[in-house]
Amino acid sequence: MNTQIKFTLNGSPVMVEAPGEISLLRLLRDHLNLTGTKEGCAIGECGACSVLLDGRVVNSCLVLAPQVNGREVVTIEGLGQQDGAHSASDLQAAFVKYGAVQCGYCTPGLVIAGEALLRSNPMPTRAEIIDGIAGNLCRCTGYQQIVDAIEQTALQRAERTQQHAAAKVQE
Amino acid sequence: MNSFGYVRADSVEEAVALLNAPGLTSRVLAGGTDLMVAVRAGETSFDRVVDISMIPALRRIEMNGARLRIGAAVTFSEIMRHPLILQGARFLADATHSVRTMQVTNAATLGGNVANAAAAADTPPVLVCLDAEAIIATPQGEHGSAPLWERAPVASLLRGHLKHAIPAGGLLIAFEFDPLVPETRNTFLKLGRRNALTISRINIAATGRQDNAGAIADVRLVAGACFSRPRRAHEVEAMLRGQPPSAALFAEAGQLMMRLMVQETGQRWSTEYKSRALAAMVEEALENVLPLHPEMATEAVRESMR
Ligand code: FES
Ligand code: FES
Repeated sequence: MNTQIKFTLNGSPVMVEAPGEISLLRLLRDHLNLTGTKEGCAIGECGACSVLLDGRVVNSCLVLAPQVNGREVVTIEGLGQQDGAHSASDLQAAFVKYGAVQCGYCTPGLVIAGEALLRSNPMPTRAEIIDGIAGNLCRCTGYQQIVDAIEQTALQRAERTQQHAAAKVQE
Repeated sequence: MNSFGYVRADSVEEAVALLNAPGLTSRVLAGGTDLMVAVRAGETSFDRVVDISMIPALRRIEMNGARLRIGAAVTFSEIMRHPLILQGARFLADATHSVRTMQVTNAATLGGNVANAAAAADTPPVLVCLDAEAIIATPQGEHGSAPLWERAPVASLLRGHLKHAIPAGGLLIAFEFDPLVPETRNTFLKLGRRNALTISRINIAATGRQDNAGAIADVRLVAGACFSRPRRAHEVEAMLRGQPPSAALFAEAGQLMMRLMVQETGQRWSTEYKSRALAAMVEEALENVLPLHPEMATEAVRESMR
């Protein structure tokens, strides 16, 4: 049964006709051509399909596509976007810099989970980072580099806000 | 693939009417964390899902007089941070936190966890330990358009693994219980197969309060995934009440709990391991809520568990 799904995707309104019984993951990949979001297990165990739904990280394989009607979805493709132009976000750049990407299959999900964590807790401890990415499996890296990348991004962001504040004071 | 329709309800009345629409088999969809897995596994017993996750009345955590009320569509993430819950039922926050996976706690709902009725679910033992009541809207009038609000103890709704006693066409609205007084200690312990994402193999919810002389004034104990369904271990509670806490007493309580489990579920391949683990967990839970040296028991114990 096809149904019309209208929602905000990476900041822009979209409308798509799709079967009502598919997951958000399949909607993104098969109907909207956004293949950055990966399917690992399709049963909510690996986190490869992580997206932000109304700002909170969820497994898109466990969301029924029409559930996003009227809501806001951000995928990995939407993270680096600034003023419509594509570039890697600071967190994505840190993943590359700290060797947190090997085969890359888990990476979009981990970047999304890392971003969600940093938005709710801008200065997480290493333990909190490990907790924050507990829903994401990576078969390659052993996780340390991923934790490094998230930790360093938090530090960089804090530094930037500080500089920002200092510049404001000087003005 | 199973083909079914989707409809979102904006109010309780609309949801109950949709669930009871004639000619259609409808299923409640809340967080989706269990239903989507079932769909993928080929579940085909319904032809429409009614999404109740956006109904404002089901999403609140609030005081209802002296009772703490949690809407059925409140998510685990919301529970684990809410000040009313941290204050009045900290072990419920601990239970939701024990899932550990943001992706799941952001979606999974309290009502879904009860309605799914998995033996190893994390929150039902805590709700049973709190003697929580469920508020259920049941169909009444033409196609259920004027629902009736009923109350039932959560314990009475749980009928064994994946079996619940929510009336047909009914909808869980909220859970209500008396928040714990500050003198009542509470704990949630879980033994899982692995740390993240785990549903419990054994879990324990317990509360305890001592009188001025240190004797056990009140104790409640519920083990999940050990008995046919989560229930208060009244036999063990009765044995403890009025006694001064001691390591020997707690060991005895663990042994009694273990015997009760074996009595009820019989010998299985896992019994040897599980019953011993249960006894040890009962002891630990009792040590947490009825400390032998209350002045030395600190929040540090709890923090180390989180
Ligand atoms: S594909 Fe969704 S959690 Fe694995
Ligand atoms: S980099 Fe290969 S699974 Fe994580």
